[in-house]
Amino acid sequence: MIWTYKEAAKAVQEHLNEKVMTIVRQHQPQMLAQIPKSEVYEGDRHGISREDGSKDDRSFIHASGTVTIKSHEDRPVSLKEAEFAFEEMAVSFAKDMGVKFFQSLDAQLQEAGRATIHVPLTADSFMDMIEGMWIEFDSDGRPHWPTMHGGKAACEKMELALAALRSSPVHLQRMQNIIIKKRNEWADRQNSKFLAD
Amino acid sequence: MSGLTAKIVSSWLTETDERGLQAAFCHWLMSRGFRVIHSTSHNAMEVGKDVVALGPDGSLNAYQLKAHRGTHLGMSDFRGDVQPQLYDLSSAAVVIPGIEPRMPDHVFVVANSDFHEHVHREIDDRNRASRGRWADIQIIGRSQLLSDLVDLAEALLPDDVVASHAMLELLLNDGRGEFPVEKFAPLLEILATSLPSESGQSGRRRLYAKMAVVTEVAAGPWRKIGNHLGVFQAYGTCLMAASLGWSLHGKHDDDFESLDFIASAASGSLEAILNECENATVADIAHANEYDQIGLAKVMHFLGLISLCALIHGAGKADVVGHPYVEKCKILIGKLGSNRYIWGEAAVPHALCVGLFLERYATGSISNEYWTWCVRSVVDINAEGSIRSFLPWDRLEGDNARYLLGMKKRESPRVLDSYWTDPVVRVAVRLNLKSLVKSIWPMVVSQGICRFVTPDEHGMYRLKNDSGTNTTIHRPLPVRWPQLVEEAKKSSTQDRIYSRRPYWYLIAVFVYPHRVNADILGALLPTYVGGVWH
Repeated sequence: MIWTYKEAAKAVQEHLNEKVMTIVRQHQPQMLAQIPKSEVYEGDRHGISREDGSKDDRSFIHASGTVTIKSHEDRPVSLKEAEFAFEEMAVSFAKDMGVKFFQSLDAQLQEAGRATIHVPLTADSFMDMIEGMWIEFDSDGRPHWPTMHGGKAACEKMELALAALRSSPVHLQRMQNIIIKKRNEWADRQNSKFLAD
Repeated sequence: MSGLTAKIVSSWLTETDERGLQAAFCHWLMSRGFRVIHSTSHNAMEVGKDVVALGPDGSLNAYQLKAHRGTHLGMSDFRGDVQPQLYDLSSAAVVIPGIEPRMPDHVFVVANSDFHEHVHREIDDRNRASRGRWADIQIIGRSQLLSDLVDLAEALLPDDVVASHAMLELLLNDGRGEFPVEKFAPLLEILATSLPSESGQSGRRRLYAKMAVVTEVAAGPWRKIGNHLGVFQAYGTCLMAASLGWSLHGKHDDDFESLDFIASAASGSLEAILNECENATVADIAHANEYDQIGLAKVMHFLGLISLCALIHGAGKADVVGHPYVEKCKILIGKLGSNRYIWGEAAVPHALCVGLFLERYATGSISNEYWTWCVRSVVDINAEGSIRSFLPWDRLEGDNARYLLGMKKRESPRVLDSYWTDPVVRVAVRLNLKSLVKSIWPMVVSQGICRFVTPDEHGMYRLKNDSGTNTTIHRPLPVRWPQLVEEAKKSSTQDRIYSRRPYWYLIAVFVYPHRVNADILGALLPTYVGGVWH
């Protein structure tokens, strides 16, 4: 079967879309890639009402990219040239997304009082952070530890803090107590999911 | 007036069938100040006149419509198709509930083509022979209709180039798939939000007539090949846009007459589906190579559409159990009902309508068994690892179909929130299905309740709003059963359209499934299924 013009145009559009999405996924921050996505159809805000009664209402942050395709006097633009222009746009779009994501994350952490700035990264400060986090467990009671993201220097500091934590019985005991507390909180949450008479 | 618009309407008028002509003709009459009191649904209960209308002067007018392919209606077509109906048209009294039975003051034969000279002579002879006994038969032909319809269809190609391009794409469609609601709704919304050309009821009637005529012309490719689903979707979209117009232009009760005709064109397409497919088998609905999720999804869609048709026709009638559409629907659900599948949130309205139909008309435990399956399936759509986690605006095409069939994997995980879980669970609570709700509750509370809060009251009739808040609600836990019952009982709606025309809400969620609202659905539920409530 031969494509109609409409089908061919749609196929090219889908191909370019796919290409852009792949490049955006490759170039966006790893942390952003791991976050489950919410699809939005309309509107300009998202409000969340949480189980603990807290509420949040934010407007959307827009990220955009511009495609510039240079035209030629003697020949039409080739698909390869168009693809290249879209690739360039996708890279800058992913960067823009990343910057806006971290800016927004930073603002939200500050607002919630969860930002720990200029605090030395030690075993204790690490456990302080864990204590304030929402931790899920699997059915065997094993915690789902959060994924940590950081630059090279921060990762090195984190490794030192974790090594210090592992080598000290006092720290290990505190960590053990935190896990027990978190597991109890999780069990309470699970029990509250049953509908009472 | 664009010459292109005139050509498009002319071409549509040549190719339309009797239903299409009738829909446009009724709105043409209304735009001229007539009150249409009957428009046939082409079933066994016809009253011998396709359309009956009261004129602005109080005269009673009866119309017989004839859709004819060709520029002129000749003698053979006239004698074969039209003449046998003329006796009923002119000599039988109009017997319609709500008006005193009487002979029509004027009778008309209406055709989408012009009448041949010999036909004029034939009608003239007949009139002379029956003069003094019956009203003269008059004719309304293509030339008379065309100029007025072109005028009504002026909004077909709006000034906006993008919108005009979208409309031309619609008109060039082969009509084989679903009607592209996303392309059409913005065009009608431009019309709905425009100021009526005249003040008062006549201006508003003209506005609704324009919307209906534009819809009929846009749905032409679907009408042409008998794709009734596409026509239903077109008129469902038109009903939403007309509701938007009603909400914006003063909310006048007397405008319901125009809106009723738009709704009846939508339900007329459902009737056509039910009448055409009353003996359908699974193989007729799904192709031979579709005995998988896609095939089952098609059967579910079909059952949903015919259930909606039967619910609309059974509404408010005392002898509903014996209504032919109810009986046909019962037989089809009995025959095909085991082939059921909810492929994503857009399919929930279909499953919901089957449930409402069974709740109202089925005997024994069939409805309870169905609701158990339905509610579980809806909750499962957004369960962890589900391949069916499609949101209400997703369509069963392209990549979505590939995901569903396991031919393609999703690139990134999606937050498992739902638009439909809360409304469907609320139905289960009202039906007192306590053990079912208890068994699925941990899954229910794992999903956020999604709802779109429109920026103004008109927003819910729009396909898409640029502003407004997407809300996600996670219930404070734990929850007790009496609390859920109390919530379900409190369901109420301030919506003046759906309070007066409850079934329009079901049409609305068929075409705009993301406009579901647990409060409106809960409030209208007693109307849909009647009976005693928990």
